[in-house]
Amino acid sequence: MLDVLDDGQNSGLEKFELLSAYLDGEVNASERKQVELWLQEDAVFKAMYNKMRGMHAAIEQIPMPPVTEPINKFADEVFAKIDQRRQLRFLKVVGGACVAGMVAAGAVFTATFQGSNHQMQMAKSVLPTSVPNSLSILVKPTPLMVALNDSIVQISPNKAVTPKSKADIIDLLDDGDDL
Amino acid sequence: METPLPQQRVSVDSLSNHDLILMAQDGARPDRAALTEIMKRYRSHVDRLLYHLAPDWQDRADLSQEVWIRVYRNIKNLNEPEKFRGWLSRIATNLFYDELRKRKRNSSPLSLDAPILLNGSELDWEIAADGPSPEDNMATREFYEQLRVAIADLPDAFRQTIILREIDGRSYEEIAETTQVSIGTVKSRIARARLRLQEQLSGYLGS
Repeated sequence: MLDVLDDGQNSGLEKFELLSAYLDGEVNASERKQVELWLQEDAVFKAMYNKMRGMHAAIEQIPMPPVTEPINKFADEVFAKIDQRRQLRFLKVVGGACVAGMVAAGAVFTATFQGSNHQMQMAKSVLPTSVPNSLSILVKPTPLMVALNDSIVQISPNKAVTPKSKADIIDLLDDGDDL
Repeated sequence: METPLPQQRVSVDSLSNHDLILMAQDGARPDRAALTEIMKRYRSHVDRLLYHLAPDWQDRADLSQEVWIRVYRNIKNLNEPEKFRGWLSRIATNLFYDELRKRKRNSSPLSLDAPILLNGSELDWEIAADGPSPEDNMATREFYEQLRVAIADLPDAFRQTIILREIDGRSYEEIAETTQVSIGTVKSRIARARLRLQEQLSGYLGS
């Protein structure tokens, strides 16, 4: 089909492409001049141009299948989809927030209880490695301990008996309650 | 004392396209009455574009609705209402290409990028030699049906390119940007698509 356009210098395809671009107004000044020269001088080229123009006009006028759906119904369907998606997004956001809240609450709960255990574990791990003397610093004497250190029954220094012999010691032990 | 004139409610169908778009952009959400009127005026353009871009898709109506959902969501971002038609076309085209990528159609395209063999078998389209005479049928329904079929039968890349040019009126540069090819490729595809259509319909177009 295009070989009829071939002029020895330009292939038929090159000329056809240039003609097509010319029809669309997509050529530069020199190309336009060249195409217009061909149109003047070459009847075959001119006929090709007319066919191309006819096709160009025809494509624009291709009838469309009739639209049976009224525009209001079409619009309602579009708006219904928009509303539906908006509700879905809202639910996703609310649902996401709920899940996030539950996760956060769970995290706080876990941190609270696991955190205190962790502190106890730290304390356990520190104490055994401490030197015994540090206990006296860490543990304050309590009244109970003071009581244990004090004698329950006040013994008057005047009544104190200093054992002088083995027999005296036995007497001291036997004094009072029967064993 | 001057009494204020009762404010008349202007019917949307009496508004210009420009004012209609401004009305649709007004408010927190697009005005639905205005948008319905915009649909009324531009729906056929969208449908025509999709009809030729995706002739074999059975769900074009859904695609068309999706275009208008995008319009609803983005119309506030349209800064130049006078460019609405082009903006709408880009939404439709982008949506089509998004959908096309999703579908990853595996139909093996008949490449028109390959060198054309003028008398070879590659472009040896079957032309109805015994068809009606061209003079009588240029404007007939049969011609348009043949043309529609011929366009639908074009390889995807070529059909999309020629449609963006012929139906949507886009420049080569815009088509190159949309289809992500060079302007030279656009120029070549449009020419070859035209050549093929002319060959296929030569019986109608005359000598």
